[in-house]
Amino acid sequence: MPPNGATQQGVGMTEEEIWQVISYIRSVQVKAPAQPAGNAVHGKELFYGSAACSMCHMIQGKGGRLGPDLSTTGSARSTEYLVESVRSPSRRLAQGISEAMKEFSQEYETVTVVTADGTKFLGVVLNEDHFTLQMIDTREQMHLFEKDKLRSWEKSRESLMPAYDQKMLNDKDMQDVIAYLLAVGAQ
Amino acid sequence: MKRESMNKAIEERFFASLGITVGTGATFVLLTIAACVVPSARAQVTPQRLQDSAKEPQNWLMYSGDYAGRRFSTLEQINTSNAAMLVPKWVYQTMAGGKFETTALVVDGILYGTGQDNRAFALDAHSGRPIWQYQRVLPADIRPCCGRANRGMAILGDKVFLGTLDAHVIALDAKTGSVVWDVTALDYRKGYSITLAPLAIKNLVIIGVSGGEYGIRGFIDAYDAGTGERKWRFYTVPGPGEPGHETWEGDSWKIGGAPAWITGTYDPATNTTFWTTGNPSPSNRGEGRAGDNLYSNSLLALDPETGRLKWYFQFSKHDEHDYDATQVPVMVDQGGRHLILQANRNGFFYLIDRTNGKLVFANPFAKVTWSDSKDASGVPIGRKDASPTLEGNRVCPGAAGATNWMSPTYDPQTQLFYVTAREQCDVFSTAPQAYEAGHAYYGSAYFPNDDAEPFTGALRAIDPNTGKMKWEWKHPSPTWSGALSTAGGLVFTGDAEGNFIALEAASGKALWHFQCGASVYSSPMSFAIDGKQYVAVAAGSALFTFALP
Repeated sequence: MPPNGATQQGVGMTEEEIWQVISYIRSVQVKAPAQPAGNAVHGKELFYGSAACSMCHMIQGKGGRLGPDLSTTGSARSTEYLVESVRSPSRRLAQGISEAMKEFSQEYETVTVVTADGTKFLGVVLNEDHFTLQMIDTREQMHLFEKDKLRSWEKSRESLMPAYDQKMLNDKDMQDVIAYLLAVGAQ
Repeated sequence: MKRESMNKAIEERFFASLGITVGTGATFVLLTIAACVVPSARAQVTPQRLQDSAKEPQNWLMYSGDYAGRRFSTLEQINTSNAAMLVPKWVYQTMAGGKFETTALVVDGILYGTGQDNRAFALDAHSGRPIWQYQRVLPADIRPCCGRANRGMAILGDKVFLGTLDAHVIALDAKTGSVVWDVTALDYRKGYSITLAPLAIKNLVIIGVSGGEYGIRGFIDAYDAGTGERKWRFYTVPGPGEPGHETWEGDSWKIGGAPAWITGTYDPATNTTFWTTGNPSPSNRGEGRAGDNLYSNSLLALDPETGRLKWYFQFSKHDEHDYDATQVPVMVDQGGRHLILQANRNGFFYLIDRTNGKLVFANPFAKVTWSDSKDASGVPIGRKDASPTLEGNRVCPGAAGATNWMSPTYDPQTQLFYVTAREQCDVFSTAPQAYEAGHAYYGSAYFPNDDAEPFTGALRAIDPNTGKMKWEWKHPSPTWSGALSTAGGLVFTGDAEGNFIALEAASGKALWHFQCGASVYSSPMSFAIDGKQYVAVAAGSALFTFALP
């Protein structure tokens, strides 16, 4: 059988079958607590303040561009996934969320480029093919390269995001940030 | 009668314009003159022309280019010294969504292709302008597993032939696109469909069915090209009393799958046609169908006139990983041996003696974990602990396979076999599932590998003498493009990122590429008009052609 799951691949299921799958997924999903344990107001302060999340992440149009937009993350990911993404961002590089219209899924791979004149850029891959590379650097400048004109380029699955340990974000504050993501995601 | 009198009127006008009075027997005169002065006059595509396709390299007369399935063009105008200058010449838009998998045919300046949702079209191959367009009205409840795709047509006489998503076989008039005949292979509501390009041999049109995801009982059919009358049917799952029936437990043969959804090849020297089959059903659950499950995942050697099985070779016995063997079985003669070459979805590259079906050798061409041993004759055997489990079992290749339906190519100049390889492992799971006619029947779900290991792909050049890889062209992600080799020393392929690429066949060095704007989901071909060589490939919803400026 030709498989499902690749770009442009439709599964060819009927409406009835699609709903059966959805019902199954819903039956096994981890249920989020009705009331998030944390303080969403404080979480927002941390997000845009001392936790510095907004340096790289955007929510509802406000924040940085280097990492994934987190406006819908709270509704799309489990709490465990969110905590892991903050504590160990390289364990599972973030994948594009709610991007059904995009043909490619952005994985936020880290890339280091050295141009022919020796200029070095560090940033995140926006897209690439065998011949070209589109990236955004840590200063949010976009660069569009032809790979064969570069002195070097190297991708890494080590996330540019720092791993937030207890010193950077304790469990209580983590709960507050997640409460904020859940509150935004529910809107 | 009406049509005849219309033709008569046209004849009279034509001859009047030449100052000739039409009399009895003028038809023959008309054809003779027309062949000289009217560019639209076309010769019939005879069975002999199909057999001698090498004599007319300007045409692409069947899905794989020739009966051997080599997907090799002897045209050499585009070559290693000038490929960098290739430019697009025209683009044809199907205006349809979904996967566009066609390999076009070109016959005497006219290009015939199929599109999504059983579109078909004939174009002026020089300009890309449509001559006719056809679209079948499909029932709302068709169940193609994997997209509303079609991979192309066959041509014979003055007709082109296509299979449909509602499991019909249709003959269209090559000049008008009118339906000449339309027959039902089997009831689509039971999960049958047709996505392959038929193969024309002598006066027969041979097709196989898709539906391995729906618990069908697979078959290969031959139809009279003139009338549509079915001449034979070979069930790929033997019934009671037939050899191989004992390889199925209980009544499991009735819903045993083994579809045949990729075009076969043909050896005129022995009058044998080679077809391949897909997974047993349900694809990911072996419980309830104990045994080898013949003739799933097999290579079949059939007599094209009767459908009689001459021999078979089964690649993956009692498969539980969806390792369809539906890759074009390529005929190659090498060192005095008459061979079939196949890079199989299960990750092994096989050399098989096509005179008797015996294995010469099998070597992995991609990462393989489902097998770690071979039997006495060298056939890879599955590991017992590679079976899918309720919790999931990580196995390589994954469900999409180490390759899939995209065509390989064999280049007689480099004597290399080129195949699109996919490096992707999956976590296979299984669970009991009751069969219900026409409903998806996997006996499981599979889950993409969750350890964040990126999937990759490559075009690999394999030396059939050794089974070893000579070079590879790495893709950033696995592609669904097949490959074409040409006498110009080139191999063409596409990638999931939308590039169509020309590589040096000897080394794998990229000489040219073009960004098509969407993934290449097809296998390329080549043709020539007025001494100019073209290369064509479907990508996104468009058919692209390229030539030198």
